Amino acid sequence: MNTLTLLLSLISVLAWGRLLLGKKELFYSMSLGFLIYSSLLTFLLFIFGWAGMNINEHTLFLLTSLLGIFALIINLVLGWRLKFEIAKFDIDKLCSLEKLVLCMIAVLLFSSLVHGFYWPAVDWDSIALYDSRARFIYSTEELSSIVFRSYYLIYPLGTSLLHTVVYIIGFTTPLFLYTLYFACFLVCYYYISAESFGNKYALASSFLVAITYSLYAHAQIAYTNLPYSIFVSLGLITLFRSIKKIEARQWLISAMLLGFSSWYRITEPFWVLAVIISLIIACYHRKIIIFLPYAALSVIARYVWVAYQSKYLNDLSSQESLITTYIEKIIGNLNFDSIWTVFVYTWNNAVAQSGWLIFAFLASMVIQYMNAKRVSLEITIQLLIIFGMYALLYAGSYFYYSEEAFETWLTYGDSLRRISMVFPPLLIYFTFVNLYEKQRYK
Amino acid sequence: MYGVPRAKDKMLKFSHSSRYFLFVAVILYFTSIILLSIESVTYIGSIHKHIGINTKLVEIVSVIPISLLIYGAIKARKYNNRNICILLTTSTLIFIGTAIIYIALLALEKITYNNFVYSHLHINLKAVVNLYSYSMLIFLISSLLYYFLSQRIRFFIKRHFNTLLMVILGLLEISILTEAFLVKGFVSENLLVDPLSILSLLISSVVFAEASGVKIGSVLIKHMRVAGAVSVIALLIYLCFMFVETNNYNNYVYSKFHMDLNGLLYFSTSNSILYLSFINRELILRLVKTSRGKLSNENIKILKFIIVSSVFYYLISNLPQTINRLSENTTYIALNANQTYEDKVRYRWPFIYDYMMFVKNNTEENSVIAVPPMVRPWLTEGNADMVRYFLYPRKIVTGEINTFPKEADYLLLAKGSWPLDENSSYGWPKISITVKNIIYYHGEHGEQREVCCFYDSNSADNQNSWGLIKL
Repeated sequence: MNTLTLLLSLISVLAWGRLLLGKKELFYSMSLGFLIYSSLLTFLLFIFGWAGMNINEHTLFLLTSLLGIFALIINLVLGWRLKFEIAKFDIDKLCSLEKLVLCMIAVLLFSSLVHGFYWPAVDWDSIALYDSRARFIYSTEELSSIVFRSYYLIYPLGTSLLHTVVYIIGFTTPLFLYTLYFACFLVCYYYISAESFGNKYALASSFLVAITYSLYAHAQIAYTNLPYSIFVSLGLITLFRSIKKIEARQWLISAMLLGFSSWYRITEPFWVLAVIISLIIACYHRKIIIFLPYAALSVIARYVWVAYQSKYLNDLSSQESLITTYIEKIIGNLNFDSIWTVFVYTWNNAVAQSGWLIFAFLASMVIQYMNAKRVSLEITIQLLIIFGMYALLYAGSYFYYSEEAFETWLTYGDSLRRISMVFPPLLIYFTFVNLYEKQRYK
Repeated sequence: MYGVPRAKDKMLKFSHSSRYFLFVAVILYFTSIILLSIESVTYIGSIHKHIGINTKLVEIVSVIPISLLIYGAIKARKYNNRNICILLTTSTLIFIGTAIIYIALLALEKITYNNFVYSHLHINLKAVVNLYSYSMLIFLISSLLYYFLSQRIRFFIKRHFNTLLMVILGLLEISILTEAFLVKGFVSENLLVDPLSILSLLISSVVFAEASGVKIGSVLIKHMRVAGAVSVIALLIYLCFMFVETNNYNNYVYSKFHMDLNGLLYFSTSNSILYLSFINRELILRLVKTSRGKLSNENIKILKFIIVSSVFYYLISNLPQTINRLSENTTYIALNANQTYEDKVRYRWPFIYDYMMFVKNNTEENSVIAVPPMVRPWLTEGNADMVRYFLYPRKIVTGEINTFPKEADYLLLAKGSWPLDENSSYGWPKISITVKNIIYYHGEHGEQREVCCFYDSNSADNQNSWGLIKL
């Protein structure tokens, strides 16, 4: 049955990729299909588990069948066959530097995949939380096996249930999934970049993303930061591309990616920015109605998880009261020394993590501005995304600075660095878009 | 000859607002230097405490008028003024002075002991670092300002580009190698100068040089070839040492040969990036030229220079770490391909895994086990969630320093695997009690010893032991 489940999953990945993307490129469809399908599968597994069903191979088989058949039927209704093409890639036309770049990406991914199949998930947080929950659910077949401890309910079950699925299918380690996530991300990033500014620059920008140490290191540990960063950055990039023209598919993909980002991590508030930006874009195109499905999809996973949390956590504060507390704490402790201390801390742990990419991004934006001779909506949205996210991180750091003892606060730097993994892909993409995007001002 | 602007330089009248900015900048600059000097001989925050002036705020505000001057210089590119030259000379002298004082004090501290400078000379080294970094910042800003304003200095740099580049490259490579043989961050942490950032600026300047009319000399070409060869040799040495390290233990190479493997890889990667970007400089320049904005526009050229430098910096700072991780993983897996699941977990959790297996083998599945609180020195074995991972489905409860939950069937006898702090001491539980028996754990292959029927928390033997107490 497990082999059949695996086979069905593969077909589902392809069917979902084809359905969402509407394109025949095999690698792109597979990558996007994997990202969305894996999240959808674990989310539904969670819903089924919450409804009282056992989480075992039968439920998994049922779900993969349902998801696969659903995607296949829709594909058939739309008249699409699962026929794919591999984009022609003439290796002889590449220069030696490009060949070297391709070779390095392949070696990095292959080595990471070998690492993923070799090592079990034994890093600190995986043992204490993510893989623990997966093993408890796997051994008891019950979702309720984790509710005895509030710590296990802090983060949503995205990666944990994916681990459970991997254990049910019969693998001994789930670590290779993170390399798969990373590889899928790179493929999606490459294709999106290629659509935006051509193959040559897409290869360069994807290479910069591939060698990003924080992303590469997280492709080899079972933490939630990598999936979260992937979903947020891809979701925001896809949303950004809707500025020119709103396409239903892109709109849907962006909403699903951002919605599912909350299925991996719930503490970071970047989704708020995405909702605001989608509203701006919808208003800009005078199609305000399309904002509603976007907002609904962006928050659905989040609110389902919060509902589950609130069932078991008695002291769970509401989102509104939390925001009020945050603002009160921040405003109540404003003074220059604190502002400066938190600024330096956020700079070192969040901004400096992307090296000087922030300067490259700003310089490219000035070039774009000088060319366009006006502040376009693209510039505004780029600024809103990057500085909005930095401002949220700053506000969060400030809140903890006011809340915690100074020595404890300093130890949060590592978490801040992990959250900041989302920035390099965004900064690289925006810089390249500003420099190379085709026919922007025609 | 070239350093001082003369009447020959294109001179336009300094605008009224620029003069005003310059005046304000100089006043704020000297105020900051004085305030920081006072803090150096007292303590950080003394000015704020006694006079109510925030030194950091003055520092930040002082940078604003100078930055506005730079903006004006970039925008106008045609005025020159002797006052700027005075600013540059003053800031250079102050920077050299503070650098000498700082390095002397730092050397004194290094060759004596920590806090020597403060206890004997009553000079606060952290405040001196602030003074040094501030004077360096102003020196850099005023040099930049001078570069934009003086055609002579630009002409000088163009003319001696090859020599200047090789000298700076030589110095940089020495500093990167110093970091490889001493410790990573030695230069950047102590002198607050990041060699990699300067290197990325230099690589970009090589790419842009020919577009600015500079001729690349044959000596520089040879230098780049040497850099390419050196990078390969350094990579080979790195791989050999990586093999040696994996065959022994973590940090083996550093402890035996005093060589930081990561630093060596930084040296190799930066040289290879230098070489590759040099031989592909036309391609990179073509990529730069095809981007939006024409390179003939000087302001666009500056912006593109910033972009290329940022990308190089990103490459130089990320690639070595990524390659290091890749080679560490690959070497380990290649040498230990047949390891079992237990071996792998044991490698990552050397003592804890075996200890947890010992506890698991000596307890029933439905038992309740109390662990120490998660404070030093029990940060790992006191982490109930981590212990639960190994011992599930046993119930894990957390005890206090002097008590434990009544429901517990077993207590971990835990010395503590983390170093102590001033408030902690080894050994848990810290309460003497009558027990059914105590099983002492002496490592995976050590002999297990059972003792009945009293646990004495004051016994030195118990405080330094690991095991399991059955209640």
